[in-house]
Amino acid sequence: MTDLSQISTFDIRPRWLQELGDGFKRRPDTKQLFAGSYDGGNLLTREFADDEDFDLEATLKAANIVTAAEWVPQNITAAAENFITQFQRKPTRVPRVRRVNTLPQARYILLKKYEGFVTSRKQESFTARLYENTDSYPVLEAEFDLEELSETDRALVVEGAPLVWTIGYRYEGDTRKRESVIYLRRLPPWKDKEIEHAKQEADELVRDIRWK
Amino acid sequence: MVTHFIEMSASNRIPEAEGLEVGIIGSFNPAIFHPEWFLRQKLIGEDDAKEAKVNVVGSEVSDIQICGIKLVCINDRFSLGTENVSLAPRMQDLLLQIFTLLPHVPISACGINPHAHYVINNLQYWHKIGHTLAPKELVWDDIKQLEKPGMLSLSITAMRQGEFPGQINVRVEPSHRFQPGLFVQSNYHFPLPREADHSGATELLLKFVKSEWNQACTMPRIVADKIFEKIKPDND
Amino acid sequence: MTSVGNNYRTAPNPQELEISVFGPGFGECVVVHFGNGEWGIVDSCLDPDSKRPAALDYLESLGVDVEKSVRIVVASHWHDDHVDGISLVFKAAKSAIFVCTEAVQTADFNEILSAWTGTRFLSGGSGVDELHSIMVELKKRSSNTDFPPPVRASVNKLVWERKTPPNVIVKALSPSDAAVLAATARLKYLSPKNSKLRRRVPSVSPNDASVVLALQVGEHRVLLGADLEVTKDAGFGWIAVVNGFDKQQPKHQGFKIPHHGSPTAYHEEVWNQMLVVEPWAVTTPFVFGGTRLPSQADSHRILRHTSKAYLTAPPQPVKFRDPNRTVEKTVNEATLAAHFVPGRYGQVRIRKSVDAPVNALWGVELFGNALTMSDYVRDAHYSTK
Repeated sequence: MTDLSQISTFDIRPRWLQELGDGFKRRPDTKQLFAGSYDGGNLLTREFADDEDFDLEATLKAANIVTAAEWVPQNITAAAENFITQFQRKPTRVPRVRRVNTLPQARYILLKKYEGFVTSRKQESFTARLYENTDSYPVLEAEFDLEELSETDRALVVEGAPLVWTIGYRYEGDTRKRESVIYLRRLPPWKDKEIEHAKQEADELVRDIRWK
Repeated sequence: MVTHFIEMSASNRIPEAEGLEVGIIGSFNPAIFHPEWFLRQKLIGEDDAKEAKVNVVGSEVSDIQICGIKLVCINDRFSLGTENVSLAPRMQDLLLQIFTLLPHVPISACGINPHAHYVINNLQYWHKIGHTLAPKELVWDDIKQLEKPGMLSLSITAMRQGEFPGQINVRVEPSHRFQPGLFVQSNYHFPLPREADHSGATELLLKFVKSEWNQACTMPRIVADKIFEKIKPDND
Repeated sequence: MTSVGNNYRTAPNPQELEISVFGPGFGECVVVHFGNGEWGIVDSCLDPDSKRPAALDYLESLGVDVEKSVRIVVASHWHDDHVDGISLVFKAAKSAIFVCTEAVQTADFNEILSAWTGTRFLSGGSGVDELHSIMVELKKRSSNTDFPPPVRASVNKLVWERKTPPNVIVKALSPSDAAVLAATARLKYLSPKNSKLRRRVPSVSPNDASVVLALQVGEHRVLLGADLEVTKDAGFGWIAVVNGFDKQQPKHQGFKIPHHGSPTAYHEEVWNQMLVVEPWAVTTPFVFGGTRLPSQADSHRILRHTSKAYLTAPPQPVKFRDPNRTVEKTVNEATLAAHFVPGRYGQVRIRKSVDAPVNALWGVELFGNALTMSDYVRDAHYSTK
């Protein structure tokens, strides 16, 4: 195997290998482009067709692995030239991948989660009782404008309907946005067999109670 | 009285990133899992179906994203995952709905696997956590070939009794996303009893998901809170 | 909960009758001392500080042995939104008879109970958690004849009596037979068979199946109004109770006002025919959304009948606060209104010697946020819609 250290130093993280699918594997019938950083950073590999006109930066970003990559001029060493000949590819430049930020583009910081149920529905609003945790007491009771919900969700607002309310920050790249989302739960409806079984349990429970 | 809540962290520390994955081992037909199927079964609405992303749907593998949740299914493994933990209730509902509609799918095990990343702004504190969880003095410092040994990963396994016996496995590592930082992942593993027939197994799975979900999802926070409670920065 | 003076932990003497009303919570609670160290508990709510049933906290603070000294535990409503913690109370009161509405006997009620099993994993449970827990405890006790059997209350049923002096009679004045039938008919709609929706069991209104109790200790009589309301049909609610009341018997000296003093539970003839002139009257407040009970108008109406009217707390919500500034800001921005429930809380304690004449005054003590209705009406700070 060609000594790639002539081209770059690299440190392949196992996780990234997995994300790349085949990982770092050289197959004779494909052409591989190697991208390396020169400061002992990280190496990524991608398979590209020989004549593919690709946008490295976009490709790497789409892989969610790095958020910046750039082409830099490169004085190609003899070893690199041999390598390139072997793979029958003649790039005029070698990309340098800079690991700027390895965060996935989206993440979420959950500040608070309430679970609860609808207590009443009016013409334009509904109220809900919300619990933060098992020990919540007193609990939060809040009134929401029905307009805050989608039409589909509005149809689910009936007394007793379970819901979850989350408050947090959503990150898209470097942008942080505060988010408050009410989710009306979509639970599978009761099945006849389940109802029958539950009724049997209830009957069993009350059967032996001797009332005066 | 009220029961079964997500036990939110009592600590002031909130994870900088959290994710959740649920994996089910069984025998599946990946071709089912197309957004159209979810729409036809009324598990999602028209808007959700339009926004769904299909990477691949086929007889060997399906990889789609619906309602912000990634669904991957190969022949013997089904998983739902998200990096947006506010979608956890949606994921639970999807799981319940899917396996209510597919009661005869052979299933052998289920794992609820959340993870969390915490930022630790103080490098010395970060080192202290590593040294406390994996002390070096007794063994590692004594091996001359190891220069400056550090904790790479620590895994703990424990039994879980009750109605759904199994294991809880916890892994703690330096975070690879935030440096310095702490990464905690847990796996709530439930092997379904071999003697359960297919529909019995699915029913058990549904009960497990209803009963254990909240507790399982908060394990990383519980573990991290305990770490921060027991191991304090030196200037505290 | 703070007390006034040093008397809070002073137990009544054996010859002293006591009625203590606690609330609000998700429910209210009435604790009765029948004399001779025997107690009764009607409904339940939680103390907001200890988060335990108010009745248990109170009795333990007086040094009462709950296991041996509590004789009856009554759930005047079947819906657990009014009996928070009652299953814990009943489990602790091992010598007590459990009393609830006749409406629990029906097959339809069992269907509601079964809804618990399908939704118990949800936050807030199914709405019948408390009653389910009571049934489990009753089932446990049913195999042991040492435990007294439970009683289903309906109109004119004797719930409990003590024949040793001072004599005690606890009688149910409701629900009427018609009310039981109507309540069970309504229950059908809540069955999972009908709606298939997996949700918390909604409340049933009106409270026709509520158990109103008439207490008699010696010559003293008190009326506990539960949450019974007034309906147009004479077979239901307060009209039925008044119609069924024996006008020859002495009137009641005290009244636990039903349904937080709301107009839906007000029937003038209760005051005219069942209560003495100027009885003492206590109610717990209710805060829900924009509703505050009793309203100022409700209070004025009550004060027309008696000046000795008390509230366990003003109907004032507690504003939402959170240690996380972002959360607090977001909650306030995302909602039309947000507050903690229950809000303010208190206890009204009323005592009298059993040997005292019927027209002698009762001693009233106010604890926590309890206040007189006159103060509530006068003080604009508490003014409500």
